[in-house]
Amino acid sequence: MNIEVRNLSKWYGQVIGVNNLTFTIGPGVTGFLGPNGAGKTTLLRLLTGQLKPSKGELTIGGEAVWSNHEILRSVGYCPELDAFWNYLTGWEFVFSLMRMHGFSRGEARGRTEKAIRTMDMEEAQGKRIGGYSKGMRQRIKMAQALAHDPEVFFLDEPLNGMDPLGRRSTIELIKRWGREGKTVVVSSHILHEVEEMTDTILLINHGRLLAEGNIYEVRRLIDTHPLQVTIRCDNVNVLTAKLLEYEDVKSVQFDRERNQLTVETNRPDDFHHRLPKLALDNGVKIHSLWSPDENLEAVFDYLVR
Amino acid sequence: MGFLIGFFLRSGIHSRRTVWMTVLALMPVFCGLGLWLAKPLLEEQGVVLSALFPQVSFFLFLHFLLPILSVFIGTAIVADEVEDRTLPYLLVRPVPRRIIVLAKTLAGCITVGLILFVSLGLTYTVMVLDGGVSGWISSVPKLLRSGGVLLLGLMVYVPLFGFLGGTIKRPVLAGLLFAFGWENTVAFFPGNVKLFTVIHYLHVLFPSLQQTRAGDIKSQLFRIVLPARQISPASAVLVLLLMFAVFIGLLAVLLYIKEYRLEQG
Repeated sequence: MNIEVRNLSKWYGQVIGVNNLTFTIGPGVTGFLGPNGAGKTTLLRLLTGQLKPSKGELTIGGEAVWSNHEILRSVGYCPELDAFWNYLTGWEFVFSLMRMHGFSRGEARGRTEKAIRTMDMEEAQGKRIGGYSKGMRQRIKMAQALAHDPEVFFLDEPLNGMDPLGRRSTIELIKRWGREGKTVVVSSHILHEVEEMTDTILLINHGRLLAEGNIYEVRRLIDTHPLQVTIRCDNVNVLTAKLLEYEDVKSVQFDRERNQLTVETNRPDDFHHRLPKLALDNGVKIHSLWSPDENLEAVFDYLVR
Repeated sequence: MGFLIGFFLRSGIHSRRTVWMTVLALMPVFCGLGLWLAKPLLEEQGVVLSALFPQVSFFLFLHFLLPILSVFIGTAIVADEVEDRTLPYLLVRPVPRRIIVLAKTLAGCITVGLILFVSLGLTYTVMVLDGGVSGWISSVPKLLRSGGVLLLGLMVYVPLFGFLGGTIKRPVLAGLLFAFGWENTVAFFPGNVKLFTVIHYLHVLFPSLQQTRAGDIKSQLFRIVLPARQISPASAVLVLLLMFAVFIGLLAVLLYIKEYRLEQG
């Protein structure tokens, strides 16, 4: 089922939520990638008919979405909001939503059981959602999105709060849906999450579409993006001197009191590759290492400059 | 539709609002108990306890509990789901929004209706049972009629305040101003302006007022509120049902055209 978006804009008074977006999404997995506040959630709410477009058109399978509740039979939506009717058990939550979907009691029961099994929530299905961990709540949200076997999925930050095992199985599930020919849209602000599910992405920032296509192109751009790396080690002076010998290291700032230095490099991959050997050869013990700007926001700022 | 009503009823039972609405609704019962304890004093003044029930039901139920509970349940019809951020689960189902609104409104009416009925029944029992079981039984039709009038009132007020809740900021304040400013004031004005209130039509139907008309209760206050223009009970019911249709329609249209922006995260 194709999703067609033409000149779509949404604004709230003076604030623009999404700005003149045009794209087509076909079967398979597509990632909406952008930093927090980029407009991904607004776009998903438009696509699921919760919001009315201010301008432009959007259709799913050729049918307009806004005020067309019938099209929602084909749509599964996992919202980003961590909100529930907390007095319900996980089973009741999915069952109730299936009944609202129009299924008979027996049909809803069967679908609920299957969805709960798919999301590996059988043990917790009888407990109240109010007592669930973040990961369990995320999985039960996924269960209600898949229980009616939709053709189109809109998943807003679906891996949020999941444990590594849950993440792995959810990623596999999403990939399987894509292979089965379902249209799956996954929104995330974490690049590597999306990277694991698909290579087709839409880059969104400030409500605009920055790029559409292959994730490796973005990865290439990111790899040339100057990156700051902060290192805490036992010999700041030696490491600083050695690092400055390399051309890609643009600057090093050090803080002797904290035994840490911040390096700016424009070839992050080379830098990370070289650092362990450099430390080993010079007897420097590295305690910790992190990149303060290794997140999508910094990358997006870089991309739009 | 039936499932949705049941779902919202259950949701209402788990709401803290329902708990304190029940506590508030028990006020007339305590009031009745207070009067029962003061019975010897009342009898010294020549007042029969059971004769006070119409006043209690008129002022505390029709003029106080009905509007205040309607304001609180009505303004929460959509606001509950928005505040709890559960609205997206409802809006992405293949259910027309008007059905969601109708189900939630009816569930609200049933919840408040049950609370009011229980409280009315208990108050009635406390105040009337003292006169004997036969007296209690003989007045049950009046009790049921009072309950029916309260239910009709709920059916008009709840969607009206639901509409207010969806259109203006501070709907509770506006609702209270409407309920206790406009409704409770204008209804006592002489002339025909009271035709523009909901409570006027409820007055026509409420049994205690009919008693007044028959001269059973010697209260001058009750005489004031008698309709300036005589309206038959059938016409009053018709007007109230019409109001219900208009307000529920407005509420459904509102949810159809209005978008709800939920905070993220």
